[in-house]
Amino acid sequence: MLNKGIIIAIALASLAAGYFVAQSSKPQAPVIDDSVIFVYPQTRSLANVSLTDMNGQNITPADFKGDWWVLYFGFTFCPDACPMALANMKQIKTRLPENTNIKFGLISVDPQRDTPERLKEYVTFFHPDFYAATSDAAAIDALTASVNVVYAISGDRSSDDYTVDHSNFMVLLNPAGKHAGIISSPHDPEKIATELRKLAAS
Amino acid sequence: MRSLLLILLISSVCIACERSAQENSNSNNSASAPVDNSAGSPNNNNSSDLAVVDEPLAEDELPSSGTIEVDNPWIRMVPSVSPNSAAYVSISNGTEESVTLTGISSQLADRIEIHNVEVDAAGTMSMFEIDSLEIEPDSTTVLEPSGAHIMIYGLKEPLTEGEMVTMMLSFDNQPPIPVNFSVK
Repeated sequence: MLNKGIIIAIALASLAAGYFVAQSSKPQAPVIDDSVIFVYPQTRSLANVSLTDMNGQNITPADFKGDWWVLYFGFTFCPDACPMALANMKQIKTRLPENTNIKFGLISVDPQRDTPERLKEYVTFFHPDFYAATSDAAAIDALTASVNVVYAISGDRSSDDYTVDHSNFMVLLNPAGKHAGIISSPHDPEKIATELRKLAAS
Repeated sequence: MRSLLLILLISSVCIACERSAQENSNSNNSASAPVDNSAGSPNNNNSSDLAVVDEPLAEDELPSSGTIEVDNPWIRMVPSVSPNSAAYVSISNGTEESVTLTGISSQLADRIEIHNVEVDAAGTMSMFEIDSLEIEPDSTTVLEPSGAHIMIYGLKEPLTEGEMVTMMLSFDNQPPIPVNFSVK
């Protein structure tokens, strides 16, 4: 009888161990390296403003739903930070599968100079799949505030000779169209692509 | 009989464990597959990185030539709609005196300035003109992305990737140096 009891005890313990192993093998939410992409604990809504995209179409941030978006807020006259950011986006993009649901775009904070035509020529120079949009100053103010981007135009706006100071991080939107996180500079395309793939696979 | 039962039990438990171990490794594989793929060609990726990411000089690459030397001069390729760009170069002062970069001239653009960049705690980049840039004796000053750079306003013609553009660097107490910058 004692032996039988031991056998049953061993059997039960083994079952419990097996169950534990099976439980721990369930897929977990991806762990994202927050030094590469800082994912907010809670997503945030974008300001519901009207934008004009590079094809002259009117859009709202709701149109970003359905895909992951990496957005950079800059301007086409930008000599240093913006071309570097877009070149990095291109490097990230080339590290993703062709059918990826991760998209890239530039939101211009300089609508005075950045026409849809100019924006299209600018971003598609970096990659044919890149997207761009802008709006009037009031809408840009509301949109940037909702994603924690700051910008300031300095210099004489009556000529083309002014510059724009702006945040140098990329803004991440999730497929629900919410602001899900930020990608701070310096931007390492290899690391960012790795983390983005983890996020998009989750 | 009892020992047979025990053996059966142990073996069935072992099969269960093996299965969960397999499931475990399978799910690990599928979760990490994208990561593995993307990390599959680090060498290629690194080499293409160099075109767009900073290439700071090693600190020990100090000149001992008694002259001013430049290294890795390049201009950032920008789309043709953009009239502005930036250029970068490392300037090594191998003389025993401090020298000051006072200006850059070229037929390339309407206006060329020396700029510095500040990034505040919130990550906002702002750049501003500086009159000159001092390079200490036996030291190297690196003009690089997100740092001090040569600001180019009003390109007279669009840049072409791979082309070389000559700009003249002027100093306060040294003869000017023509430098060929590669567009990339």
